[in-house]
This record gives sequence, structure tokens and C-alpha cells, in this order.
Amino acid sequence: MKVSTWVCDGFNRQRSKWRTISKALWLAWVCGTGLSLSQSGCDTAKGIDYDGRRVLVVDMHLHPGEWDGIPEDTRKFIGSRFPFPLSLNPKTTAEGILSAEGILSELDKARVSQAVLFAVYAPRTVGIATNERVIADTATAPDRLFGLASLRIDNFRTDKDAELQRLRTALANPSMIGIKLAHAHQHFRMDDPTYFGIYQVSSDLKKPVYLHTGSSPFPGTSSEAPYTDPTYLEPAIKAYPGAIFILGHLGYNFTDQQVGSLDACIRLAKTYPNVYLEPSALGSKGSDPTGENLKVTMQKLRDAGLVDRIIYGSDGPQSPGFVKDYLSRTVTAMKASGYTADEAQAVFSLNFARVFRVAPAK
Amino acid sequence: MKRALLALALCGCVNDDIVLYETRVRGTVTAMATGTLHLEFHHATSFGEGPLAHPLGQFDGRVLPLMQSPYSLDETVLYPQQKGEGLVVYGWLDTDGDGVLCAVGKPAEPAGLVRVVGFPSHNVNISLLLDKQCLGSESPSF
Repeated sequence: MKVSTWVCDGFNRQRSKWRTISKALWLAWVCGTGLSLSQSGCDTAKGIDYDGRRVLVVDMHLHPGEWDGIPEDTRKFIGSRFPFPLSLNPKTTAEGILSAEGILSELDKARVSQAVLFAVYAPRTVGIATNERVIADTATAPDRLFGLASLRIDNFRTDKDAELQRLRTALANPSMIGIKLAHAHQHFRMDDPTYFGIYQVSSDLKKPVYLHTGSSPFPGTSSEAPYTDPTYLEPAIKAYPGAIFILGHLGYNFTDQQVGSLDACIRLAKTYPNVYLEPSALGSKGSDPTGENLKVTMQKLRDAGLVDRIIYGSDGPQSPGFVKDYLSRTVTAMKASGYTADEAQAVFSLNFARVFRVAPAK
Repeated sequence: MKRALLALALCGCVNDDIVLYETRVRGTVTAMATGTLHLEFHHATSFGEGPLAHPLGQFDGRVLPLMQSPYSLDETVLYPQQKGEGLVVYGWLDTDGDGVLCAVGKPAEPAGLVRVVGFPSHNVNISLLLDKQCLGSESPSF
């Protein structure tokens, strides 16, 4: 609806001052009388319109953090991805959207009800966002923000037990509903049993584990198959049926912008009931300019009968407006793939609530 | 004004200079099989601000045919001094030619790692034994 675009994008597009004022008056009337509230941008109600039905959304993949917690090479990379003129001062831009307030603002813009913030310990690649930081951020909006805890694995040679205990301690906080791992960013093989104790923690505490799969555009990432191909997770998936494995990005090949290991993800999900699927980032403007890969992906998942295994995430906030844009692109791909409103509701919030054992979004 | 801009530009470039320390790495690589040797040269510890410091950090690599064991190694590497400290050499042997260490459904392949004693030095000697199956350089088992 053009009206909402006009409201949200501001008044600077208007050539005529009088035209602006008249439109503002008209809008004030529309908002005041409650016409088309769900569409016009006048209200703060959550959810998206999906085939005439309001569907609530949980974004299970967001990154808080601090600019200083990111390695220098990655800072340069992130800065290069911001649109001009935001790229002129990437630190200010990044810190503006990586704070809890910034993330909540991005969620509001996208009408997302709830979100999950990821702790990250990847000092070589994407940097560090501590469990403590995530816990503090979730405390700013406990009804809307959850967290995934993580741990350092680069010092497992000397501190393995201490790290696993730190993970358990973080997960004792009620806002921390799962574990985040990224083998490619943290540099450890998916099939190395040295690290399987993490899945034991997941199983013991009934906290699902989210795993980055596929390649990654960030500097310093491990790109070899044992670090990126979800097929290498199969021994762990099989050995820990009490742990839930969420395959992030569906094995997408971000380097060549191809669907990558999608078929492997589908096979694992069809074979093992403890495997779930999360299609974040792969369909972004930068990684899938035409949106065709995201459409093919969502279509394949539906055709495989895996709608009840899909949990929506964006991998934001990345840059201002990304959370909203990714949601819009995903809705487009799902509509093109024939997802019903019921199926959309499952993907966007109900599957999340069931898997993470939290109350459904409101 | 132009001179000032030029000086400014040059100063900006100076910050990106990397000081490389030339080191000749000699010694032997021993394995129970033959194939293609994948060698990685790492800092033992990479610098980073505060908690961003971390073990390892590859700065160079080689892919060499290993047709007999022990294999005589003689490689010269350029070590980026400001990026970290210490020297670690990791290697694995590609016995099936697929370019992947222990690919799914393929036979196990050997790997090994040595922390170089006496570095920094322009000449170091190592003895790298590939006797651990399927381990990446990061493995705590090394």
C-alpha cells in the first residue's frame, strides 16, 4: 500500500510543501479512524499480512554486539556492505543497530514480535558477543528477546571442561533457550568427537543447538567441507537423539551464491526427527539478488514435507532495514511456493515456540 | 596543498605495511602412506585486541607430492611479525586425491602438527609425524 510507504519513508520525497501537508492531514484522518491499520504503518501491531490473515513472526537469528568485539578485517568487510552514506561511518552505524535498542527498533520496523540474540565466540572471524552481553540485552525486553549461548572452542586444549561449565552456567539463565555454534567461523570440524560434549549439554538441558552450515563471506572463515557441509554433522545428530540440531542457512554457498548443501539438509531432516531447518541470510539482496534461490529453497522444503521443521530467521540486523527486508523477501518466496497461511504461521512462529518450549508469540 | 595530501595518503599506506620475517623450514615429514601433502604454516598465537587473541592463524601453505617417507622438507616462508607470535606447522596427507581430509565415506587420512622450538630464527628444523587420523590443526588432541 503506497500510503504506508509514504509514511515510513518520510516526507522528503514530496516536491510540494502543500501537497505534503494535505497528505499528512489525510493520513492523520486515516489513522485516527482506524482504517487499514494493519497495512498503513499507523499502528504498532505485530505481524504480517499473509493472504488476508495476520501471521505473527519470530526472528530466531539476530546478532547483537560491539564494534570493538569484531576483528579488524571483518570490520572492513562489514563497513563495505553498508550502503552509502552509512558506509562513511561504519562504527556508528553498526553500534546503532547492534545495541538492544537498535535491534528492538529494527524488529518494530518489521513488526516482528520476538527475536533470538546470538552469543558468538569466533575471535578469528566474526568476533565476540559474550553470553553476558546477550543476557543483559534480553533483560531489556524479556517478553520479546531470547538468547542463544555459546562458548570458546579455540582454547579447548586447556579449558574444555571450564568452557562447557561456562556454557551450562549461561544456559541456566531462563532467557537463554539454546546454543549457537559456527564450525566455519570457530574453526572446528563438524565430525570431531572432541566437541560432542556440547551436544551432551544440549541434550541434558533440552536446549536446541543452532549450527551455521554452508560457506561464509567473512574473512578468515574455514571453507573446507568438514567445516561447512552439514553431512559431516550426521555422526553427532545420530549419536545425540536428545539434542535438537537446527541447520542454519541450509548449507548455502555464500561464496558462489548457490543453494549448496540444501539437499543434504533435506535428507538429514527427513532421516532424523531431531533436525530442524533455518533459511536465514541466503535470500538476502547481497546473497541472492533475484530471490530465485530462496524461492527454490522454500519450494523444495515444502515439497519434501518439511514445513513443520522450518524455523524462520533473518541473520540481522546487518544494516538498517535488513530485518524487514528479509522478512518481505521470505514472504514473497513462500507465497510463490504455495505456502498456506497456516504453514506460514508454523514457519514464522509456531515451530519456534514448539522447538524452544516457549509460549507462542503474541 | 597537493604535497600535504600526498603525504597524508602515504601515511595512510604506511599503516598497512606488513613486516615479513623470512624463515627457512627444513626437516622431515613422516607418514605410513604416500599421497599429496598439505602443509599449513600458522602463528602459534595470533594477536588481537583483548579476547580477540586466539591460537593458530594460518599465514602460508604448500601442497607437495609425498612419494616416499620420510620426506625431506625445505621450504622458505615469510612470517608476518605483527600478526602473532610462535610458529606451528600442520600437515595432512591426501591419500585418495579428493582434496578433503577424511571426506564422508572415504578412508581415514593422517595428519600431524609440530610446535616449532627455537623460533624466531631464520633457520628451523622440524620433524613432522603424520600419525593422527582426521584431525584438523585446531584439534585439542595435538
